[in-house]
Amino acid sequence: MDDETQRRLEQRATRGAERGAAQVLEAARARADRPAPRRTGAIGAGAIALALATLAGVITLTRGDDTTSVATPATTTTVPVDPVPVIAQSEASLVLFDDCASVLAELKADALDRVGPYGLPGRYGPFGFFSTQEAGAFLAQSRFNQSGGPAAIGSDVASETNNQEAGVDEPDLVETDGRRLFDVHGGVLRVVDAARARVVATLPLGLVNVHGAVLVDDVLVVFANEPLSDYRAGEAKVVLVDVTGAPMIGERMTVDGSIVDVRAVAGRVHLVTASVPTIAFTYPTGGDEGAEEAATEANKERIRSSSLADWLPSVTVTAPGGTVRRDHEQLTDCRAIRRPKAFAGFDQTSLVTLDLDDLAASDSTSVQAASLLVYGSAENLYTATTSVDDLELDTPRAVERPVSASPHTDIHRFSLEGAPTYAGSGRVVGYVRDQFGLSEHDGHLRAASTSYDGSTRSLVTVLRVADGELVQTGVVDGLGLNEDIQGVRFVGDVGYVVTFRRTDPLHVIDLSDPMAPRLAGVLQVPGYSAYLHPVGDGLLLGVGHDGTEDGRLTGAAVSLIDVHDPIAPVRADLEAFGPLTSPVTEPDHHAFLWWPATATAYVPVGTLGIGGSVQVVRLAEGTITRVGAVSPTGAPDPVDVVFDRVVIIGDRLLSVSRSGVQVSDLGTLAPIAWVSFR
Amino acid sequence: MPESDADLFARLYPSLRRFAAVAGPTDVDPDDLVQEAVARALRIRPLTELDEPLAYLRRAILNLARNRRRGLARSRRTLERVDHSDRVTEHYGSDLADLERLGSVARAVLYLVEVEGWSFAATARQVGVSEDSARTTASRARRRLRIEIEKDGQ
Repeated sequence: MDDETQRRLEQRATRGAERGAAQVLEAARARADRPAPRRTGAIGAGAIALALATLAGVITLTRGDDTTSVATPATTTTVPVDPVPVIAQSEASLVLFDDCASVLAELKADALDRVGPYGLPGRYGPFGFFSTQEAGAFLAQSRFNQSGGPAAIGSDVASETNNQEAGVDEPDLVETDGRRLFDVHGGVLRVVDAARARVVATLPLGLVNVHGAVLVDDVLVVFANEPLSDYRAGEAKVVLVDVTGAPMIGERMTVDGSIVDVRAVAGRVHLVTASVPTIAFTYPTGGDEGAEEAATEANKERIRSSSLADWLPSVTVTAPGGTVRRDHEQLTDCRAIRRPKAFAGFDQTSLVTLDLDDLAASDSTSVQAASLLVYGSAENLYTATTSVDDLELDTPRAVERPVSASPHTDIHRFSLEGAPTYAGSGRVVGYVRDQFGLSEHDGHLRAASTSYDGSTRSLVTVLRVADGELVQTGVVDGLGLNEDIQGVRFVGDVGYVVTFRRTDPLHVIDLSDPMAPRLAGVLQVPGYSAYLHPVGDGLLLGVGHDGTEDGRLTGAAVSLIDVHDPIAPVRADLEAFGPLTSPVTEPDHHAFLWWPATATAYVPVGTLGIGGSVQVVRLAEGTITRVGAVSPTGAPDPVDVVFDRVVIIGDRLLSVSRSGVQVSDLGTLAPIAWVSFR
Repeated sequence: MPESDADLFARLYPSLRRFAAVAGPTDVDPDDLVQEAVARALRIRPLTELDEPLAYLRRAILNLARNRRRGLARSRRTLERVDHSDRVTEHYGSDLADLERLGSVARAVLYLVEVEGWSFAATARQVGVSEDSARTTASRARRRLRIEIEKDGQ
């Protein structure tokens, strides 16, 4: 055995921060006390089609539309393509149920049309394996702990979460009240006093897979998903912690399913969850046709005898003393459940507006459709689901096959004025990569998506609300032929779309006329920027990878892009962080921090074999200057430390990892203390 | 005085966690794997009543890791069906990536034999394979890893 192999195995054996025996055992006991997940068979039948999609609705396409513009600049990789068809938005519109009986009757009717020997198609069957959150993670490269953006970040006191939209807070692993840092890595709340550079309180939250937290006044609202559960037995958890003084756990809420995302707007916290039916289907036990028929009939009987509890998520709320306020009650009143006009699967997406004074009194509304991502503006919240329409693979012939196998994304809009109310739906071609693919501006929603219908290309679609529907007003098609979207940012009435195959075309989209959006210009440089942050004065900072002309990536880098002239964007400067580095921001933009007071960006990067650091760059007169870097000085095992958050409190810079916080002087970056979480 | 579940688990935890970190995919928290394996064991009987609790829990961890890996691979394949682009995604010559390509069982076997120094017979019990299979798996994994390391060095 050579030393190198041994070193690699040892490095792997010690990865991550330990939660400790006591906490793991306690959580395991809690899980063991819950009923075992209901399964009717072992995973293993390759015959089951694995559907990401849930929609089996028929897309109605019409050709030719004068609102379509096709990107054709000679300098780009885009080529002329047929104008994109306009999709009938009405397919995605939602209708209300009359009462619980009609909810159950429609669910049963839809299910009986589709049930087969292995249960319902795709992941609803006995061999379905991945949860909505996992599908989302792969579609959007981590919905968890994700979000971020061009908000006016920072004050002279403390930085804020790097949110996509100003005033719309996203859940994060760290929060600050301007004096203390609240860290929820690993399901343990650690309160760090920035001035004293020490942990002043530690509180296990009884959570494992933490999604993030938002701070509303003196209440820290922490969100988590039960990990490694049977995909039908997942739980979204909410814990309120009063952090006025020493942290104290308040009410807890558990909702069936998993957290898609959370937004806090004007002190109100909106939780979006996704859940699937929990009917235990059977499957054929023999190889003959009779066995399949028998299994189909048995599954039909299970559907006929099902109750609403088998289809809809329930909620449990527990007071601090253990008093159960709501005990597995149906989450959403039947009259607040909607379904698309066209069948959209058996998932339930629920929007729960939390009442932080009384979780049991929280409002909720549900949609019978899956959701993989959430975007929130100050006025509206959007959930979006991408479908690849491969349900037909194991859908009985009786069900009409979709016209197109091309993915499309259904978008549902909820108004946040007063109690959240449904406010229209729309559909765009292709899949939307993440929350940055959606943006609301001046009454219009813009969506950047990638289509795989024949050729891979990307589009920017503009929609507006009309008669309760999101109606397309214009589209720019043909961006980045054979390239995927890597990063998107909408800033005012301009959109920036980065695609990548061998080089990094940055497409600048002029959206000033929603009826006639157009490609204004393209910048083509090696590497790509996965995260774009507006840094003011016609400049964008791109965080991503440097690369060679032939498409090889050579390490993390930041690019300063001058977009003063949208027709001719230029890369003003580039700072590369060297080989074997990768930006932590790529799956998680909350890792990035822009501090406008000093025009400084803080970029956590990981370096293989060396560990993490926070690279600090300053912008001045169109150039990037590397100011320095923060390393985990004083950490007992610095190789294991990967910083994933940066927070400024007063004159201190806090670089946060799972294992501790490096406190540095904000001005000089000189190390002050290593605050260990172990 | 008989050992309690808590004492037993506290004793086993460091080695279980290290094993989970090696066997599990890098995007899964090793503590999640340990926790789930223990939860499943506790549904059957107290830890102190398990025959060879270390081997039992390690087998459970490995099974969870393999299921998880299969699940992730399937969903990736599903996406690949959708993705017709031939984009170049450069993966860094990564120590972790080399190990990742070995698979859960091979990593587990290699770790138990080479780092913890177990015999092939004891390794086989903890991984749930035959002794011959453990021997072959270790040999192949060593060869493959050596090739990957040499490639990285070039």
